[in-house]
Amino acid sequence: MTAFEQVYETTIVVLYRYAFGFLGNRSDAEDAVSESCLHVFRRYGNRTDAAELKALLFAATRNAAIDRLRRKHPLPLLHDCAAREEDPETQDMRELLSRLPSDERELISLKYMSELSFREIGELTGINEHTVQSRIYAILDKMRLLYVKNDKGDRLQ
Amino acid sequence: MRIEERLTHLKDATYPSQELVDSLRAAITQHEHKRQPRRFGWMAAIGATVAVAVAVTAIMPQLFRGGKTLLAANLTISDAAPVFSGKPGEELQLVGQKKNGQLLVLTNDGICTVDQGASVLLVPLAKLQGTSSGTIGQIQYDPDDDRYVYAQDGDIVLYDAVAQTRTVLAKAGKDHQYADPTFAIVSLPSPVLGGAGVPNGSVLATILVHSASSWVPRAMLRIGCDDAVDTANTPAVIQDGKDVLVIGAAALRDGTDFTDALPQAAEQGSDPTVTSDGALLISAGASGFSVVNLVSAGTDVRETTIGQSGDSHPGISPDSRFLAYLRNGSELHITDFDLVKGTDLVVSRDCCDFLWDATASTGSSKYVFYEVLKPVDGQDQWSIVRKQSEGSFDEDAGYLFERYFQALLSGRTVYAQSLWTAGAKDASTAMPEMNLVAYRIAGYVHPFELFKGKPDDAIVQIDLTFVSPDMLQQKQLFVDYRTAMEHGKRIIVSSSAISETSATYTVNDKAIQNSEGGTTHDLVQLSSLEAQRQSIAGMAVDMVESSIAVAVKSGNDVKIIIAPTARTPKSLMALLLPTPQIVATLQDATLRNISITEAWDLLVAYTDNAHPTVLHIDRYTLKEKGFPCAETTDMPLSAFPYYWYGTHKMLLGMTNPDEPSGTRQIYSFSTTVSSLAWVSQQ
Repeated sequence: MTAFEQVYETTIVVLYRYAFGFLGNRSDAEDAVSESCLHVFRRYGNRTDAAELKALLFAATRNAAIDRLRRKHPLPLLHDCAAREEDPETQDMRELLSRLPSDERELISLKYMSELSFREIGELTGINEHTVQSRIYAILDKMRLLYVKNDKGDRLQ
Repeated sequence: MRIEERLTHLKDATYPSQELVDSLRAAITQHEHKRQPRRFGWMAAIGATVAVAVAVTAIMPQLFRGGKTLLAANLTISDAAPVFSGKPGEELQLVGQKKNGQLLVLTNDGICTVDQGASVLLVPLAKLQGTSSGTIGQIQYDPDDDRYVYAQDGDIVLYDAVAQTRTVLAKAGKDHQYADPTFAIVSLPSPVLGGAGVPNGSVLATILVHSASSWVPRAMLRIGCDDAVDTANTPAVIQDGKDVLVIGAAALRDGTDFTDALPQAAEQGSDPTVTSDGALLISAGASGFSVVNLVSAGTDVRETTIGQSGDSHPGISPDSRFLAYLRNGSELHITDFDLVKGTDLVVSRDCCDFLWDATASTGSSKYVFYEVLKPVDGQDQWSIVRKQSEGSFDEDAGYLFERYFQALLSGRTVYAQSLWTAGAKDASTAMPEMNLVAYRIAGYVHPFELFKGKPDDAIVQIDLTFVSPDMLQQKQLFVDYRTAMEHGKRIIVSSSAISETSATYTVNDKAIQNSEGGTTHDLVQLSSLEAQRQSIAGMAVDMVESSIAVAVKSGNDVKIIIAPTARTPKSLMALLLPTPQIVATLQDATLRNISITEAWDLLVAYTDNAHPTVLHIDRYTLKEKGFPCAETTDMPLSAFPYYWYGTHKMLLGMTNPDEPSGTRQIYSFSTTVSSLAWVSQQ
């Protein structure tokens, strides 16, 4: 198994989670991930540095996602279409995420969907690591307020 | 449950489909042992939407800098599979694209939908022709309905495919014709004009404007006939889309008939403006100006003459209450329409050495903006060739944004001066003797939007790009803009400042030398560029927030330059170019168009003798190769001298040299880089 294949196997899921969280729908997320994986493979598939390949995959996916956002596709609610039955808790969180601006949605996705470190997020987005950290905490506060404010029982209304 | 725990729960519930994982794994595995040297291209592995895959003879080694140039004549198509092929000699016209993705094409039979080689006739040609035998011009498709509009014998015809009715919207007259109709939304304050002059110079333009309820076809006539001066008149459009007023003709068109809107024809060269509520129209000429009250457009028109000789630069506040104008070129007056005439407020009268220009007022009519212009470098005489100035206030009328460009003629050289009146009249920036090709105001969409929600952050960042014969210069200005006028009282001048950073990049000092060793400055002639983009004739530029693409003619070649902007994200920069670079040199080429997307995909349409070609440069290649474009998709382009890019598909009309002579074909490509085409080397 080549280095790229190994990175692919370990990264594809987190890559997809990031794209889905950022873009808000399965179709665009899959397209973005497909495009970025194949591009990175085609361009850098012979490289062996796993960290570098992972960074390239995230960067390419981010660019592909930004492409799609800039084409002004309406962002649907983050319901996972009809592909799967999801519990109310998951549906609420997807909707809550969809209410965030795209830049905030991206940071949350990178941190909690893909579990990147603050440093990795900073390198990817070009934002200072400490700024990333403070922004994410601020976004979490905002999400808490949104959730509580709309909380009727356990559901986000 | 804590919000972090809820996010973890969401994460666990999010995973890709097994189909996606497997298909990507298969693509990687299958191609792992077939990897081509990257300089020779790539295989589009995804893209179920790809309608056509074209294998093009690649000449990649010739793309690189240092004498390696792209020769369009070397390109041939092999293994082409067109979406649709016309009959030999048949002229195809791409009419548009339906919402379901079907292409609409005009063939010898009529308007058809085409798909994978098959066609379905929608509108027979006879229906479009009616009783006229005149040639049908370029057809435009109504994006909201099954309707088509086109020019025929100087008339503008609307064909409703649902009702199967053919209506002549505008009839050609003895001294005028109509041409180039289109569907468009007209917005104020800047009238959007459709169409262009026709060769005999007799006509002019037709547009269709948008009403609140539906696309309502309205013909707009720009009177001018053979008078070039008149053609420069600016029609004004009332915002509700019901009426179109043409000052040059003193005519108002409401549906069918023209009626006089002004008792007398306005002066040539006047520049009419209609207020956003459609209540007032103002027309300024050399001998003053007049204000027309359009209480009931088309029927009850009342004229109120305000200006007198020596009055100029009138501007009406958005609520139609105030009028600001200059008297004798030095006094700024404000008239309150609600007060008795003759009680004008004289704002200032002590600047007779300067030219004043009232250009904007606030939505609340609280402020009026004006600026002071002075001769450059102390010259007593200066000729203004072109001047554009726009000013606008934020919603709270607290901040003013203004941009200004001025071109002074000096031989063929254009001086460009940018002036931001930031509290001090000296706050201007004179640019060197260069050709201004592009400017970008960071985040700028509209001044109102720029300032919206940012009352404490009025720093405007402006990127300017200049091209001199031997360098590309970028200048970034940071303007802390805090000035406005309240009836003559200057306010908010604190912290006004302009700071700037600039960088000059030598494009290629050797590349601009012609064979005799001399410097070549000739520029390629291009089609007109978008109105919002500043440029000069003979140079192509396209820009998005993150990048600028410039095409410059150098000798017989065209050099394609891509430059980042101050707004280019670092993450994007990591995959792209850090500084302006020549990314392609097209030998013996004539440029037709250039287009760059936010993702730095660049399309260049050009012709090399009889070989119309589209060059595609993708963003990944730029970084990998350092500067030259290594990945291209080159496609002959002849039937349709234009393309769409950035939505869903790129459509190209071509003539396949391997097909019978004259056979037009239409190709459809996905815009994603990965599914565009496969480039190989023979």
